[in-house]
Amino acid sequence: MFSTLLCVLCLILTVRPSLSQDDSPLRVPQQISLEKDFDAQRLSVTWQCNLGSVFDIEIYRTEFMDIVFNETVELSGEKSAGECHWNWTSAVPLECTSLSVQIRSRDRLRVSDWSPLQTTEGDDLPDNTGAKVYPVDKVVLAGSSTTFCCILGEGQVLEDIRYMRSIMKEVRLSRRTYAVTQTHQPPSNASGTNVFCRATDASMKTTVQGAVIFVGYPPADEELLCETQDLVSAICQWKEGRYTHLRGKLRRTRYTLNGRTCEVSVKNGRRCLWEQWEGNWTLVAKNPLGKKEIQDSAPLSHRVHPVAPKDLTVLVKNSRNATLQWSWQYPGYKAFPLICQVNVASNGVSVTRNYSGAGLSLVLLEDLWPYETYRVRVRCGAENNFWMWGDWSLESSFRTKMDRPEMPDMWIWMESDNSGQILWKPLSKRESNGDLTGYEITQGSASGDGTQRLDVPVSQLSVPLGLQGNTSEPVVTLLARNSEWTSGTSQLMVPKYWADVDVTGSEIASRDGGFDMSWPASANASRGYVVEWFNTSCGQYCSVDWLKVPDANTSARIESSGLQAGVRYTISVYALSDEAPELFERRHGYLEEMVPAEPVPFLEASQYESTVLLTWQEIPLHSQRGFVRGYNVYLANVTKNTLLAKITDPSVKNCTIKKLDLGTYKFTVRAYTAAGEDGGSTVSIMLEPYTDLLLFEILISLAAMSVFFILVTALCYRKRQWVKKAFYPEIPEPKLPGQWRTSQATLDVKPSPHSMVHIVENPQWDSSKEGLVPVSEEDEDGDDSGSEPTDTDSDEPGLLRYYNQVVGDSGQALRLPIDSSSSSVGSADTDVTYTGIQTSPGPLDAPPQVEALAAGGYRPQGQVVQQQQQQQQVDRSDAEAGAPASASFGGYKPQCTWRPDSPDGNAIDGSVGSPTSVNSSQFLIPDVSSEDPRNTVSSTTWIPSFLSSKP
Amino acid sequence: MAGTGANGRQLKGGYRATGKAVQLARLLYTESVRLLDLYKERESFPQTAVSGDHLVSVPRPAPQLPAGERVWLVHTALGQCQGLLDRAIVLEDTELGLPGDKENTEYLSQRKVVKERLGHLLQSTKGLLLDGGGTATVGTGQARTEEPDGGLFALKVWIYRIIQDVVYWTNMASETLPMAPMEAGNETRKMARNRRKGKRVGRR
Repeated sequence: MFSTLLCVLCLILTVRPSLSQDDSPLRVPQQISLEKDFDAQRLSVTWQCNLGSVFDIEIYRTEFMDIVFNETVELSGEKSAGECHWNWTSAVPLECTSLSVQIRSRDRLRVSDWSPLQTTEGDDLPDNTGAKVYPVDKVVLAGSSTTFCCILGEGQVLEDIRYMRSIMKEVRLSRRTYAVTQTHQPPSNASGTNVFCRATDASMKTTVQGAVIFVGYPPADEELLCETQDLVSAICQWKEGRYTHLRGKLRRTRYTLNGRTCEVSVKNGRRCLWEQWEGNWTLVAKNPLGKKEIQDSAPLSHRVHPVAPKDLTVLVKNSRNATLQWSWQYPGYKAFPLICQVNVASNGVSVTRNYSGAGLSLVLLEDLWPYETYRVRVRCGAENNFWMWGDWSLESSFRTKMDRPEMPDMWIWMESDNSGQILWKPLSKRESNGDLTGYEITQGSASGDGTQRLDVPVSQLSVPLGLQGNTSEPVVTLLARNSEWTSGTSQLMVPKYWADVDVTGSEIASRDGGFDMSWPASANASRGYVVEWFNTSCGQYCSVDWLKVPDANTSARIESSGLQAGVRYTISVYALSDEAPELFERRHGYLEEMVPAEPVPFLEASQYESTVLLTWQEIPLHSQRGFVRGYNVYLANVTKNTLLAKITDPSVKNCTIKKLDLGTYKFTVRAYTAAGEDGGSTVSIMLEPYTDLLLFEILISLAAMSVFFILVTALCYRKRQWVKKAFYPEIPEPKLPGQWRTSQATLDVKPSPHSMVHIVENPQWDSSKEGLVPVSEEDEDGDDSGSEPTDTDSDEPGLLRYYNQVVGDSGQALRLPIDSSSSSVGSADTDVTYTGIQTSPGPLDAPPQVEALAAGGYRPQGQVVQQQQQQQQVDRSDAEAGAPASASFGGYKPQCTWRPDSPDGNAIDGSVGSPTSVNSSQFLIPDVSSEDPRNTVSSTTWIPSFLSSKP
Repeated sequence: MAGTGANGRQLKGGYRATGKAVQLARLLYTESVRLLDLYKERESFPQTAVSGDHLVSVPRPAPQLPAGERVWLVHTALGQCQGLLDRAIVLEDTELGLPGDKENTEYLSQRKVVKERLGHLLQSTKGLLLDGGGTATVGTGQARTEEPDGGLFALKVWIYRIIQDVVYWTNMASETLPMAPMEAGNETRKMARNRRKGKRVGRR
């Protein structure tokens, strides 16, 4: 029970004080003071605070009472001696406008009253009439954000605020203050980034205020390395790393090495000097945005970077050796183990040799070339714990002494049996071993007789050689001289002259711009071989080159810049011994074959009947430019060349083309090498007919014609019956139509034998035409006794033949014995059928006329012009026969338009002589314009006469 | 040829020396305009960026002034320009530490050209004055050489105004110098006539 009461009492005693506190009001913070750190934009608030650590704090922009901060803060460590401290960092520079702060205490849910406002003034107070922009010259980290404010001057109106060229969106903070914020700022250039604030006053005058901000990075230097050159002090170097973008007196990076300031200049780079080697090094790089520390640690012997040797001196001992000496800048090098490189250069060739030793400062240069100018330089490094090579010394040059020249390479080229050239190759600078002054040549015999000596200047590389007839085993010696020495003697016996014609030289092919010459080994070549080559067609001034080959070798490659394509070279191999050089082999070759430079010369063409012979000459050797493998012969046309012959033997220089027709031909002959054909020579020839051929052709023609005529004649003779039938058929007998038979029967008229026409011999006619006289068949059978033709055996009612021709004849015809009665004649006339005779209409349709004709006598082909005469004749005959004459031409008059060319009896003969039957219309009416009727008769009667003749 | 100004400033040197100075002034004017352009480009200065009086405290040579006096004024102003430009270069290098990178190469080169050419023009104009320019020695003018206060922006504006003054006064030189020899000759002849006239009056 007692214990329970005790507990209750304790509880009451514990709770009571707190209850008493809750009841009392919290104390208002007193003595608030404000301090501004403009660079950090930090506001420090200090006030009296006896109890409690939790406060409500409010911060306003004074003019507009815009609240910028309103939070409850709990102070932990900032409380001391009854004072509370609290820092607030403003995003806006503190200069931009006035700020007011009020604070109250808080204890859980209880709070005190607010303290009175404590105000810190900005630069926008009316007393500060000028315009300004904040922050000024601030340095910020790249990528951060910065708020700028522009305080306008009294009476000014803001136009814009720009961040370099970008116009920003402003926020008004007070009556005269505007603010802008730039986020993610890029690094600025060296002179910083400008912020401009443009404003106009009442007079519309524009003024610009601004500020500069520097945006960059903290230092990022790296790779600190310290080394020594004098073996005492240290030189520390490092790299900058990322560019900070911060320059200028207040922003650039500052360095301290082991706590001591190190000035860095653009000229010397990032390096610091330290008088004494310390082993451990710390470099601190610092700028407004931060700092960076880098370290290096090493003993001195491991970081020796020797200086360049100085005072190089060369002492030339002889033509091959020299001594190089130098000195060191620092005494510490005298005992320091060094390794040095000596670089010796001459004529673009550089050789580096290594030497080592403690405090090395003297070396011997060996194996140098005589009389050669050298440039030499030296650098060194630590032999032990090598760090790096030191700097090269300055160059020094020297020249070695002269030496004996090399023995000249001599050769003798024989142009003939008694003359030649002594040739030698110029000594190079290396071989001369000094300045050459000339050559000495001696010529004599092996026995030493008649020796001649000749001094030759350096520029001369050959002398002519002339042999006397009595010189036996001629020998030539040659030596070279420089200003101090004489070379060894080069000796050679004069070789025998070998002309090309004496030696069969085979061809040699080139390969890769040279000739690979090989030959069988010779026992006589105790001193080796000489391979000699020259331009085969070089003429008098030949450029001869040669190559000496040791006796162990039997091949050599001829490769020279002097070798030209398209040039034939003669390559000879001589065996050298104690005797005169002996020709071993000779060959010819081209470095590169080309097409001949000129066409074949003297191309000529000759005609032999139908054959053409082409002849030409060989292309000159210098123009061949390759081995001529043959010739191609073309027949040249306008459009193309036709290959006629391909001559593969280059020795053949003619070509025969046979069986050519008459005409003009152009022939082209082209020589060809391995590279192709030349341009070709062309010759033209016109083939003309030749005499024998003409005569032959004439004779052949005559013989052929003769044979032909004989054959034709024989054939015609043998086939005369057929020919006669084909070309001169029997004239068919006129046939009377059936009506005539009836009428004839009615009339019962039969021609009497006296009605037959009797042809009497007319002295004016050709006797051959007698055969054409119509006769009776009995006459045809050879019965020539009866002058009275009988027509009785004929079945035809009237076998009247050619009466029509008789009728109307001239007066001569009228003298024929026409003693038959005119009636019978007239009855006979009606039997004639005229198929081709143009008749007047209706002769048959008018029987009365026919009868009249019959009464008057039928007279076809009667002539109008002879009408009168005929009339008279008829009158006479009428008078004799008692026939009526009035009806003579009153009826049918066929072919009355025909008239003979002449009224004489020949015209009638022609008609009579015509073998054409009355069925034919072609021969009945001879062409008026034809030839003489006499000739016509002759021509038309020739064949029948011929055919009718019997052997 | 020699001319005498109203207050005793005399000109020497002939047309040739004057022509050389004119050529130099015209060339320098072109180069300083280019320098101003480069500066504005680098700093992104707006066209109406800077206002204020000239830093060079030399009055504009009025046309009614004697030729010698005008040449002297130009010479004096150019001297102040040189002093200001030298100081601007030192401050710019110190405060801003411009690196010789690609961004600044042309500006730094042009700045050097203007600086050296301005020295030559000063020598040329000095050679035109009989007394060598008197007190208008290089860098001793009464320019407002007080350095700007208020941060690097003020320094930049100050440099900008200096370059503007160089442009202004080189242009003034190129306009003033060509007329000087002819006017000086006229003045000399006029003074000689007045002197002869005075002597005749004195004899009477």
